[in-house]
Amino acid sequence: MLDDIWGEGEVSETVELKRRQHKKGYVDGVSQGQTASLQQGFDSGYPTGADLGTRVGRILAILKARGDEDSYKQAIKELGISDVLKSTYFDGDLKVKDGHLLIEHWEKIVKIT
Amino acid sequence: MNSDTKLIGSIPDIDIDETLNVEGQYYREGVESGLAQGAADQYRDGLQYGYQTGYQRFLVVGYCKGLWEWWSYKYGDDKEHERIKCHLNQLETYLKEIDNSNDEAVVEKYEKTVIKIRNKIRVIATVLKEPQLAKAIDDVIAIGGQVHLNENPDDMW
Repeated sequence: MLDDIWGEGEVSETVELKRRQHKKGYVDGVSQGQTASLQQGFDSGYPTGADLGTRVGRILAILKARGDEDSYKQAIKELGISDVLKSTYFDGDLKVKDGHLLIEHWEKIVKIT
Repeated sequence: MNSDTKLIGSIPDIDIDETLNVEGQYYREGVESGLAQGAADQYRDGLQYGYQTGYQRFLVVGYCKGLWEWWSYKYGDDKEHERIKCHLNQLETYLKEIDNSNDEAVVEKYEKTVIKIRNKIRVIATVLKEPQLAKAIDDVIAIGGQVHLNENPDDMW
């Protein structure tokens, strides 16, 4: 019986020690891992966002220059930042999926022949 | 730890260095897990923020590229618009100077070049009597800032 009690106590102390130290290390690790990765993520995302913005801006310019006000207004409504960056158009790793279907749809409309 | 530590009344045979080593090992394991998790979370957050910022900053570049493309298509081969062709060539040169990386020097150059591009657009639009095309730049910039807060945030990533 004594063996059981001491044995369990020892195990739970070890588990507790592991839990406590692991948690302490985890919190420190999370904090250390943040800054550099935030910047790396930003630097990777920025050119992709720039490409999407460039494509959308081009669509709007051509619609406006053509004098197609209805389509221009519709595009302004559909191609806002929260629509273009919807999760539907990105995969699980946040990479653009299928060339971005919404933008491609509008690119077909403004195709200059 | 050996079985002697279970004996009541005896002095436990605890190796302090070993205990500290074990504590240190658990701590280091925690740091590694935390680093990996923190890095992954923050990378994802950074990526989203980069998408948004890049999108907002390059709408104007795309708009000006679109106007250049349209005007070149419409007036590029027109001999009556030699003056416009000269402006369009200058505009094309400025547009080619724009780089989409987030390097500090590149971003600084972006600011200066965008000013030159917008001025050139204004000049061409005035000459062609299409000032509304230059004015619309502000509408275009505005759509970069429209994040609808009432939408489900989970839907936007």
